[in-house]
Amino acid sequence: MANKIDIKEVLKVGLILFAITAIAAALLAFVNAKTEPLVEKNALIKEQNAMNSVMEGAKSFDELEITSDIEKIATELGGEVEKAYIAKDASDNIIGTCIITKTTGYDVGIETVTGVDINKTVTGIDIIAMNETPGLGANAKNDDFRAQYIGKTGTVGVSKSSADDTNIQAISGATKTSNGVTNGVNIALSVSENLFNGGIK
Amino acid sequence: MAEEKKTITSVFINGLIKENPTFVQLLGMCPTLAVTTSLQNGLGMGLSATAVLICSNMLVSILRKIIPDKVRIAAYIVIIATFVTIIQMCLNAFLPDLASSLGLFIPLIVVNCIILARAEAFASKNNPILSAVDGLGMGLGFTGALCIISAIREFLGAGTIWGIELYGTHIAPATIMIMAPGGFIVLGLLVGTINFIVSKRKGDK
Amino acid sequence: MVLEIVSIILSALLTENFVMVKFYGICPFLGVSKKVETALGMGMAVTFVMALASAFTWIVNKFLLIPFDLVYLQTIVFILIIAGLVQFVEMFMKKSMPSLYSALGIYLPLITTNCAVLGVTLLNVQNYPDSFIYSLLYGVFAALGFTLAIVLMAGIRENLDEERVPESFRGFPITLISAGLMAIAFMGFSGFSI
Repeated sequence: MANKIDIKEVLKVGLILFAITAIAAALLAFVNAKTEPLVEKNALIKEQNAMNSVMEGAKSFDELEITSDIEKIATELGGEVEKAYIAKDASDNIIGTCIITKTTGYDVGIETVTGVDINKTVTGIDIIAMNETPGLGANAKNDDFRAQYIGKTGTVGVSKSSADDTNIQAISGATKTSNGVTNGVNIALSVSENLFNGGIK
Repeated sequence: MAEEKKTITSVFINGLIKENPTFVQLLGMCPTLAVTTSLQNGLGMGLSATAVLICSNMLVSILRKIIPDKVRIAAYIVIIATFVTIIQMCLNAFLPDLASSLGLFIPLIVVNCIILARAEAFASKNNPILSAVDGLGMGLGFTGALCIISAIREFLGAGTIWGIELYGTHIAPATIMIMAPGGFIVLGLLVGTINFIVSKRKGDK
Repeated sequence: MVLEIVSIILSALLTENFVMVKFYGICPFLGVSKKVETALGMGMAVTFVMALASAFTWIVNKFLLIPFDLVYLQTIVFILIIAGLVQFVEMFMKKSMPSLYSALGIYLPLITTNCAVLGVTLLNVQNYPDSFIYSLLYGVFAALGFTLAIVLMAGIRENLDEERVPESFRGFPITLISAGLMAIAFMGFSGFSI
């Protein structure tokens, strides 16, 4: 074996590897350009469907700017507001808000849509995305669990034993997930209250 | 063993059954355990991996004379990662629900040992058509194994198959089967049972 | 801040243990857990690479991929960084720490295809895109969690060798079943929260 490194050989090897990588990157850029709009469209449709399901009778949703006030409320309650919408009915009257929050349960990234009507009462919630454990936390997606939030107002609590006016019953074995979802709902409630008190346009 | 002539059928059957990547070679265990919580996930993961396996096997085989020996592993990784990213983009665009339930395990197909192992052991030595068939056989072998495991786990753990309720309303299903421990135990029992059947057959002959 | 750090450490190490809960790094976990000594070696090598990989990929992601809008190249760039790092660590160890190299050397090439390493880098940019410290911390403790699991498993397997296990369940199957029982034990941590 030669001790000296053959520069030509190294160059050739490097060039081939570089060519493969360059072609790969170009190909990916092409596919990405084709699929990205679809991905965004899907996300929007999903969001739209979720909002329609939590806010009955809404015809249109106007996106609001996330102000520093909203951010502050969310941070204090330990979560984030991803998006905030105003729901309007067919005759353009404001009927409530739809707030999309991101909170942490057993794992990060529970994205919840909460519908809140003008009486500051929850009209429904839906979960857009979560990474919770199948069979336990992932049961938060079930209708029975989500329906518990309907009609709640103020601050929602989590009870391990039974549900009542202010508390929802946690999913057994997944208290952290239940807390995470509830957290998102509470953020949505305070943010909506803030919006309504501030007189949204 | 005598050098068998490699035909399309023999290569296919080899991957599907004789050298089944999951039950015989015990490769690619991470996705096997992690995504087999429901039949849909298992099938989705299996088919995604199969698509990557066929494409990467074919391309590695086409380029086998061009890729310098010293950097072949790096070149294989680039090729595999490219196909995986394409699959990931397509899943995100066309099957967003499946994409979100498979989550991080889609990009992790890159480090699925089955794919790199086939590129190194088969595709770098054989022609593109045979390599594609090998990819198909191995991929379907993997998919089949994932389907078996996920069907068992879904049935026991959630009381459903393909999301269809079977007995869950009457008897509470054993949730632990679709959680981490269930994955290990189901796979352990399956591999053990297969070993048992194989050794029985050998004994009979 | 302190609370956050403690919670990252605990979850990476125990409640979301990479092997027992999240199923990352199963191949080496099953392949290199025959002896406690080798398991420890593998664990150390993985910790070393994972710490480096967490740091490098975070920097590349933050200052290269995001500003230039190339996030879709994440997987391919990260795996190349990991493969490069593994090569580099191997060369470096061979020259300057031959004793460590002879102990860990054989495991190093295996680390490239350890999905725990790629997994942690992808998780980091997803969960802690803005905090270098948290990313690094999560990387190191997830790796230590991996080490914990693999060493415990090796301890069990050393004893299993002397047990009368049915013929067809020897080796792999019984290892998997033991791992399942271990995973049940790890589920006990899942109630923890700070």
